Amino acid sequence: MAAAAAEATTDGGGKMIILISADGKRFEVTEAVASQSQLISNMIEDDCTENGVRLPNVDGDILTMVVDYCNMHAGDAAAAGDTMKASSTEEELKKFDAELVQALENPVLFKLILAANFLNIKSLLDMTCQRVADMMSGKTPEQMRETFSIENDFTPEEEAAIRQENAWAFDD
Amino acid sequence: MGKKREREEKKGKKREREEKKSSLWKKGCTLLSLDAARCLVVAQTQWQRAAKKPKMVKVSSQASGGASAVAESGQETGVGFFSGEWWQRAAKKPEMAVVSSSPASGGASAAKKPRTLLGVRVCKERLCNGMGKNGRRTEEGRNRMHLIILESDNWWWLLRRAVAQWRWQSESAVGRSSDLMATCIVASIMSIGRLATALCSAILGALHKLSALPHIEEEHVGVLPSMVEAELPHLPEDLLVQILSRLEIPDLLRASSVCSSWHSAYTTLHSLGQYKRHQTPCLFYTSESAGKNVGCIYSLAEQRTYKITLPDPPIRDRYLIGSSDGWLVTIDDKCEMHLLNPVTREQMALPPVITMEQVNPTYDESGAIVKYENRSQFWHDGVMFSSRSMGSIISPRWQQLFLTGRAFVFSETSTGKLLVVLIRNPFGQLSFARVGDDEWDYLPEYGRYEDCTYKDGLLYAVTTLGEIHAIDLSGPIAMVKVVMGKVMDIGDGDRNTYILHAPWGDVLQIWKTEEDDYIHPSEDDYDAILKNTASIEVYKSDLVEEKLVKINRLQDHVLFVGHNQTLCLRTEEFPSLEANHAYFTDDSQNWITEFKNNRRDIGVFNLEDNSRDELVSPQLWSNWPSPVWITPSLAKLNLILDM
Repeated sequence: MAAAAAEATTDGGGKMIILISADGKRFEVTEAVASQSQLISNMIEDDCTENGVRLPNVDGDILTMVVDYCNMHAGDAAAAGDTMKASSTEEELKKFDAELVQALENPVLFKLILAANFLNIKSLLDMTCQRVADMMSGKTPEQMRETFSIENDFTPEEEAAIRQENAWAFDD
Repeated sequence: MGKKREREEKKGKKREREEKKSSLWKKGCTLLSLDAARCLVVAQTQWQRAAKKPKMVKVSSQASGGASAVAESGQETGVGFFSGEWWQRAAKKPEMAVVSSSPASGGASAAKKPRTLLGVRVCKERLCNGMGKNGRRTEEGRNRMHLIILESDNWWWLLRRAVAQWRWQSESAVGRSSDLMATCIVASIMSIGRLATALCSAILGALHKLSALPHIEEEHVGVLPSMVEAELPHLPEDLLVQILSRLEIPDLLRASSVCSSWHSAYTTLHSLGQYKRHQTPCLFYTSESAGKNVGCIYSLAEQRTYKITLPDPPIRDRYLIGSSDGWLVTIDDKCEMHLLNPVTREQMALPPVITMEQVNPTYDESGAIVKYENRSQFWHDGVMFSSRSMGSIISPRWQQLFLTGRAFVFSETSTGKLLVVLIRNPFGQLSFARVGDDEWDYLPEYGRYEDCTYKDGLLYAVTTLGEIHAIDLSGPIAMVKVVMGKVMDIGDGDRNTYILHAPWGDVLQIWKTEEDDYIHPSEDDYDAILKNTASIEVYKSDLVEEKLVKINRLQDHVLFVGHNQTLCLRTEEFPSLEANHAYFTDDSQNWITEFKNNRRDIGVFNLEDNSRDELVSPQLWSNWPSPVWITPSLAKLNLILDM
């Protein structure tokens, strides 16, 4: 079945790619959409996608988001050739992106980072990393630990030594 | 029928490909089984031999030393992987194991051999294999590392194989938790580095987790293990590095103290220097209340001040004559010049002022310098400018400024060294030196420069008359080329001219004009004199037509002018800055020197309607030394010198 689907084509003549998440969910996307992942793009180039692409470390929920993102941004690449077909305007995209990352709970955000990294989708990786960086900015180390539920695994001496190195950045 | 044939053909091709792959595997790959302690040392020789490109990768001896240290300390295995520029490990002690290959050879070879692939496989297993050459046997249960080198176009095939193996291995690990087995294949492909890094980090994450957790039991049995727990501290280090690289420096320093894995990521980032974020400029100032040695940095991003205790001589005794790339250039009351990075507190003396052309010291009986004489003179447009006519002996009060003027620091393209350029008073002549030099060199016969910038190995300097010169300082003799002629015949004493390369490629000139103002109606009361920025105009330099074209609006961009290297930044990158505005500091030199304690003209200028706003109120800074914009940087001088 997968093979049959892989042979299927869209109206535009583009090949369809099947992505299979860790929990077995299947996503059918066009080559243009999937190619935003450098990983998959390389696989397509090497003709390794015939039986679907298994992504053993990406959950279905996360892959749903990734596919949404790629669908939304597939216009970017297409726009270069045909502006009329661009699926979304730049502003819509920005809004979509902002809403995508703003809404995420920490663990989901980190899973999305891992997925973007694994799939090598640079724009998504940049955006998600930036989101985490934004969450850190202006915070004290204690606040950062709280935000991300991190345990302080330094000994008091170690921590003091690190703070001492650049004591000025720690002043309130 | 046609379809059938097509399918046949396809099959044939596929077979051909597979055959090619397997033969490649047999012929082209060399598998080295090494124990962790020696792997990198051996890698240096064996691996290069295996790759049959001895010069392809150069792992420095310091590198292998670091890696060995990790193994001896009995830590879990650190894994190194190589990509065109660096060789890094992703375990717990990056300070020991962050290893760089020689950038020159690594970079060059990457370009030449873009398809070379290196895999590193680490496993903890019971196999006892001979070490080959030296005949030693690995101990039971010891970490072992395989290096796989494949020069091939079929890297993808290897990656798939790697993943398959990893899955098999990790599943068996789940099955036999007493004999924890983790296999990792790290692949790095120079031309497609990101993909490799992606794979590496995912697998490394798994390795870390597998070996760190004593119990990997029921919940994972029978299911493919989710590779990495999605918690920030457990993100693979290269991702943490990516996140940290987007922070403002104070945030970054604070983040480094959150936990050990963040600190380790910070150390890696620091040694690699791959900061993604351009830092938002800050105002560097001093204040009487903070103390003589304390520098203050007002962050526009956070709208708060950081106070940093700086090395001697006291910062409040120094004149701030320049600021580029995180470096301040200062001259103290003994006329000694320094480069100072206030963020790292790193400092470096610049060559003495007496090595400057036309500067002569006068000594007292004990041999100490009491004053300097500036015998500057030069011809310009048929007019002789001479400091003799201006009184050549510089009074102590003036001398700091009279000897120097504005200073700039650039990373020289040809040498990688820091190049310090001075525009000297009183005639805007140009002196320059590289960090580490003993004396200043100078550019004879030219002068009246006001500002300069550096791009692609050339210094671009603008004169009072709007002329632009492209100056090549890399050779034994400085070469000056006039790229744009003068745009006016007489300079304007109240106007400062700045030059910069805009992000979109144009060469811009900026004119900042000041006017006098008085707090009190009496013009004799010098303390009451104020200077105010009356206008800031932006021009594109049309180098073909040799004329200036006025730019009325700086869409999505912001300017920083003053004693700093002039900046034009995209507001998209700096959400805390206002577009179409110029952030300015007082840099009217004669005025600053003559009226040290008068109010400094610092603020935010709206290019739309020529209105100005205070930067912060009440005023934080002392009027002397006059504050400057600085772009904070953690770059180390040593690193720059090493290159």
